[in-house]
Amino acid sequence: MLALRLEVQRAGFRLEAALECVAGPTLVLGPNGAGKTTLLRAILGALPVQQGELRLGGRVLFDTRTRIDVPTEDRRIGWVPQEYALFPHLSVADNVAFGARGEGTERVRRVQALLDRLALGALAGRRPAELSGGERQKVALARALAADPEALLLDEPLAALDARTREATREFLARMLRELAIPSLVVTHDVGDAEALDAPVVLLEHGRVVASAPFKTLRAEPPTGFARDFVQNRVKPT
Amino acid sequence: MSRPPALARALAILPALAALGMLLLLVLPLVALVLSTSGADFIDGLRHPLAVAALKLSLLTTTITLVLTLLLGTPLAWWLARHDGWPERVLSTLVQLPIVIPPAVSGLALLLAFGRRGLLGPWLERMGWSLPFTTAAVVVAELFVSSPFFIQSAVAAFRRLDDELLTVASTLGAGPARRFFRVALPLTAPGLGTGAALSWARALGEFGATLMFAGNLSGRTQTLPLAIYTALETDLRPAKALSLLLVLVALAVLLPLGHTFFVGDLRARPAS
Repeated sequence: MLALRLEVQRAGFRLEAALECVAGPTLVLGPNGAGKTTLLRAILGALPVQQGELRLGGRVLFDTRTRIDVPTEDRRIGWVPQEYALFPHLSVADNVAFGARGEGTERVRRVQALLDRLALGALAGRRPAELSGGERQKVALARALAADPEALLLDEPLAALDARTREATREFLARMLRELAIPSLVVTHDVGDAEALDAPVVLLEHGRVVASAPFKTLRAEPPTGFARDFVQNRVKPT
Repeated sequence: MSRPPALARALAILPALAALGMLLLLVLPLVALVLSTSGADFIDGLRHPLAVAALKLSLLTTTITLVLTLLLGTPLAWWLARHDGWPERVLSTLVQLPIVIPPAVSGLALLLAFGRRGLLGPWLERMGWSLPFTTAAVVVAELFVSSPFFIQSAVAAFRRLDDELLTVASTLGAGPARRFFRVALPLTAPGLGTGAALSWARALGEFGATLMFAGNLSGRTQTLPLAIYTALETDLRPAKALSLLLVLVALAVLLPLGHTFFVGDLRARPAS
């Protein structure tokens, strides 16, 4: 369980979000500028949070009252950023091994198992610059999973892919995230992604959570006019 | 109304003549140096006792300077590159000043800071140290004039680094040291290398500040440029040989950097 109540104040923008995410994927939906990426970065500890608390499993990662602020490297939250940010100087195998848990042979086995699971074995020696968009996304996912995270954050994991790769990757991602059984927040501004993943949805607008429900419920009974327009795909991403 | 063809032709030649004049001025002195030094002169000059001592001292001091520049300059450059407040901007300008201020001013400033009656002089004296006119003073002078070249390159390289790579590294459990050595350093190595080479070349050629702050004592503070200056008054051969040597070293530093240095293409490899 990932539970949070966070307030972030940045130049000209304020985010106020309270969420509880169970194991499995949760979609963070909203138009550009709604605060989706800010929310993920706040959870990672990659930007200053003014107030609130963040718990993951039994651990308190952030709490302004008790002044707990666990550094990013100790939070054990996996991160797949929008452009994947693969280490350009390392091979696919070394990217995946970068944060791999375990020692010696156990570590090597872990990396190999992930490469095999994501069908990346044949690319192990390649550099990120030699990969396609879909392959990069898989490497970024494998790299995050190798560190054995307790939660996973994916920022627009499909946005950088062309339409055909996107369809195939959607299915793969939906299956993968369900199998993982850890809280995974998937940011998207594309309602199609939400339909494919069929997961609980958190709808953000202007830095606030305006709806929190399964996607099907949200579409059947949109709580606000904005929610209705958005899930019916009438609000185009800007 | 069109100009007479003869005048138009003459005007068209003017820029070419100007360029030729500039080129001559830049290249002719170096050509003269090469032409006036025969192979035998070069070898003899380098064997001169003055040259041998200066060569040893220059290699020693510039090596120490380079190591200190990397050890002290890298953290400073990192800090300057990763912060964007007004103090960092003011400091960025300040640390570049030694690049443009005249060497004599650098020498005087060093004396006023570390000299016997300088800012830190009395304190250094109580500790039993006297810096001016020692080999250590040569290193301090070289550090003062040359390290800004490295710092400038390093700041530029660190600024081009994609922040997201460092954030990802943190989420993978990497603390500050691992993020720096496994991610930042390999990706900025070309920029840091260029800076280190330029900075070393500048230290090797340092003359004015060294003369004023460290003096011209053979074997202790007489580096290659000072030995050339001294030899001019007695025996021209070591002066010419050492000069030619410094030109060759400068070429050896510039040629590998050639492309990046002149074209200004110092971009780190693009992040994927």
